[in-house]
Amino acid sequence: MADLFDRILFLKESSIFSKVATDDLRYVAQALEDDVFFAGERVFDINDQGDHLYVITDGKIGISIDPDPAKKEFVAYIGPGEAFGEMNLVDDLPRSATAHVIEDTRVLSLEKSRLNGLLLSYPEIGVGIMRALSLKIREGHARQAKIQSQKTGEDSNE
Amino acid sequence: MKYLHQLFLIEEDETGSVLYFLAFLVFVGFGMALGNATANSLFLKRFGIDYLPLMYLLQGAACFITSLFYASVADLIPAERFFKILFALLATVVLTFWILISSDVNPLVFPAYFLFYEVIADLLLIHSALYINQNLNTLQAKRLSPIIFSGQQIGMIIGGLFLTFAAPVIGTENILVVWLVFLLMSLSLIATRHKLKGLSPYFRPTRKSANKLQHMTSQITQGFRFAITSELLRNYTIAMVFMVITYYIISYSVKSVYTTSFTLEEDLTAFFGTLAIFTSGFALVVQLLFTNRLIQRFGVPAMNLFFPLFSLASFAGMIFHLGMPTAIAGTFNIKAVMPAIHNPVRSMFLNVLPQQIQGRARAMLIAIVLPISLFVTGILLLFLQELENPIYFLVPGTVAAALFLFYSVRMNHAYGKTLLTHLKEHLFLPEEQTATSMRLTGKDNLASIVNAVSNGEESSVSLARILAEAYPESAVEHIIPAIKNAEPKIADQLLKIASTTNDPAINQFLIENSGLHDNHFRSTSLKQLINSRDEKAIPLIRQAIDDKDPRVSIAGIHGALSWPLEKLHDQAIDHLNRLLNGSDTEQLAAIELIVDTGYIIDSETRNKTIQTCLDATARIFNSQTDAGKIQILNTYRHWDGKCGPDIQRLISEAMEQTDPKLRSAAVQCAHLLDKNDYAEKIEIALADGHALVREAAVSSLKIHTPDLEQLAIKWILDDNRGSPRAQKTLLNAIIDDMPHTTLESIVKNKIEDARHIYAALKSIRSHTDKDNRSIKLLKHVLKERFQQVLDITLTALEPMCAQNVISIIQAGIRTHDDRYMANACEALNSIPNRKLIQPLGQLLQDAFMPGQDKNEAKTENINSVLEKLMIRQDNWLRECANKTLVNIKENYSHG
Repeated sequence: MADLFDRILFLKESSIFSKVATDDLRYVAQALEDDVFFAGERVFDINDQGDHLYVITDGKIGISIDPDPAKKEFVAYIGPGEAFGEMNLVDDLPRSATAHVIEDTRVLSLEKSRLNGLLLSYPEIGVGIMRALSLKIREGHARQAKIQSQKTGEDSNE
Repeated sequence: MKYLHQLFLIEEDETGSVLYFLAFLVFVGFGMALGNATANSLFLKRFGIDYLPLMYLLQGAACFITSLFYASVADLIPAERFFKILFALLATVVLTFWILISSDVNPLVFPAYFLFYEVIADLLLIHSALYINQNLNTLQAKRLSPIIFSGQQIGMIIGGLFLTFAAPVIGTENILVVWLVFLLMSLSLIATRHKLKGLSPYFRPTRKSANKLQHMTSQITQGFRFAITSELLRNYTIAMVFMVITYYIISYSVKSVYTTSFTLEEDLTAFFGTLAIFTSGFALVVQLLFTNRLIQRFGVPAMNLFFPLFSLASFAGMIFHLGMPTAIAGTFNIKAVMPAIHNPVRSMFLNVLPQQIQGRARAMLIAIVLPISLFVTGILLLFLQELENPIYFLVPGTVAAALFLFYSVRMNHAYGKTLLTHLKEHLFLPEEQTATSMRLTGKDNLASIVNAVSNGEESSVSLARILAEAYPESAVEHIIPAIKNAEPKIADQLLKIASTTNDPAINQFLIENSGLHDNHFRSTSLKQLINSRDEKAIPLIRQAIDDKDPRVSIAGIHGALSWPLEKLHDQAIDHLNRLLNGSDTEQLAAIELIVDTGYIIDSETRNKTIQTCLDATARIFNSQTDAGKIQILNTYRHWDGKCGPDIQRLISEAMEQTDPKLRSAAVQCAHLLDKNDYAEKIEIALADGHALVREAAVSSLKIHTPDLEQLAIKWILDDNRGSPRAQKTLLNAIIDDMPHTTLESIVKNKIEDARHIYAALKSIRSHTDKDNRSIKLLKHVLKERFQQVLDITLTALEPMCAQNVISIIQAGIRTHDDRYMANACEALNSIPNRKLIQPLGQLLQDAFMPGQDKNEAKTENINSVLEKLMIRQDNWLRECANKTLVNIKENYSHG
């Protein structure tokens, strides 16, 4: 993905950078690196020390939270436009899941130190990321509430 | 269908909800028509109108008790759950009344049933409003409330039709059974809806308390307190007192006419049914076709005066002649004008109160205001009933209507203010923390700050800054002990703060403690003494020039040259040249003195020293750390002389580095670049992603541009040059000194610009190639530009509005939360300069409420749009437009 415009659009449509202004995404796009993972590989293992954030441009990743990184019991699947590995960049804790490559996957990766540099240099990028993460949490809450209300409905029907 | 959407201002995704609420209120309205007619006929005919004033008194007491209960639960549970419980209870009570009336047990059942209906009718109306409010935001409410509440009128019409034909056939008392069926149907409707859709989206429960009684009291107390402190709720409350008196005097007057005009109970019930058809039919037409348009055209406050004025007119008519025609006109006023226009408008006034207090405020109104007003009306009528001439209750009614009008006007004044205040509270916008406000907080505050400053810890720096701003006359005496105790780095910062007060006590302290802390601190203290031209510092300067530490030595040389001290001049030049040819550290320190070279008396020595400085800079710059580079650039910031391409290249390169401090320092030296380069680099810096760099660009322009205001106007207004971020930075820099006429021109210009961007966005959106990635990116950029230009418009409006109004509105729009955005748009309409605001309000509504955009269908050819975008002086937008055009042409040639 050589074209800068294409990268910017990709970032703008990704979950984590969707709230960052395109003016500022120009700097993020320049800091990204292309990477490829093949089916069967693991991008990272649970409890690894993470130093990259990934945005999938093509392919499919399965997320497993089993303590054994080899186990392929997925709690979520991630596809184009979605980011993974972002939590670790914020909280500095080891990876909370294993990322299995299900189909050959192309990603744009951003190194932690480069992201930190970008955040210091262009703080509005940080504000945009914060808003996107907050949106993700809200969506999570909404999903949880929906599941709970469905469960309550089922209970009362019983 | 599209025509219906446009006619009723409903967006497509709202259709389902609107139909549901409409159906729900049809059921409620139908039931109320039956309840109203049966309660009135049975009471008036089987018990007598003479007891009506007494019933008002009892109704007040019943309302009070019901409302206390309602206040305690309204905000705790979702509105739909309360409705479910209410309908189940009502069904049981209606069934009981039907059995009692049918078995003719006791005549007291008629006033009891009358009382029950009157209380329930109020509760149903108030809770319906809360229910709708928990499901719509302010802009939706403004558009959809009239349509949704028209459901109640439709229900009333159907109920009226039913009564007209059914009452004479089945008898008044059996109509209760039909009402019972509709209550059960309403219950099933609401239960099904919320089983499918979940809770009302805008329901925010307040905390549950273990102690119910205590909780109930606290809910009521909070409602009370709020009613006292809120200007809007206070005036709303008083207006409501007079509205209730007005309403019930009209109601009493017309009922007395109807009771005497109809002898049979069934005829009276049927007449009430017929009256309901016409009043509700009239209300329905007005509500569906006119109310929302009238509110949008004239605004909420103007429409709030409609009903009080009509009430005054009703009384005037009845005073002239109290008979069937004026009685029917009075009924039209309270049964048609009030629900069609006044109720939706009144509901909007309460919508601007904090969400969590709305239920309690509503409950307080029926718990306190309604009972008190009913008591007053009841006592008044009981007393006046004895007098035969109706003028005795019509004149007090007229006075009440006049006062109702007066307090409605006051309510209008409070509306805009309240809207902004609560938006501000919601968005947590901090009050400006100024030194003046700190000063006003008194001695206790000072003592605690002094105590915190004197400990010399890191936090003492920011507190010392506040202290120096708030109490410049005494700050130094508190900062000096802190300087002594603190680490050298903190002491250095504290010294810089103390020097801003111009208190000579700091110099005395520095002279007496010349060996305090490290060399860095010594250098700072020497600079402070030099800047204050304190003669006692001269021996220290002489001593410093020969110091082994280059930093201290440079401070001494700086003193000798910049004072200038002729006796020390030659000594200083010798030492400076030695440093400029010394180690990297010595050179780095010596370069700082380029700004002092102007004080070198001999021109040959001066030129040679300047050249040595420039050579040293070019030699050591790239090997420095960012901190070193910043130190050098900070020196050049103050230098106005010429420099060659080497130094210019270093400055340009530094402007592109990631460290914002380095970029900022480089921008401060941009004046050393060639004229064209300067303008270009400053434009980039004004749009930088870091505020520090943007501030540096402004500061450079302030120093190096003859007329910054003129330049800013040219860029923002005439040329529309640079990105919106750059323009906003410029605008913020000059806004305080700008005349309002210029700001108005900027506002108009930017509204127009935003409209063009929005039009371009609509044209791009309508392009058939939805998957074209260039088009997709351009859409994002245009959307951002639209928001950014709106932001500039609002910034330019700020000085023309009351303090903080615009920043609150901006914050509301930036939340991207429907409810806050809607409130922000509504708040914009409260700004007095309507001529200026109206186009902006219209634009916001078009953009945020696409269903209402009258020009939605009009789009331009994409090539023409792109060509227009490409001539804009906004580099990023131009690049995107260019890329899109190239892409479209490529696709066209390939396909």
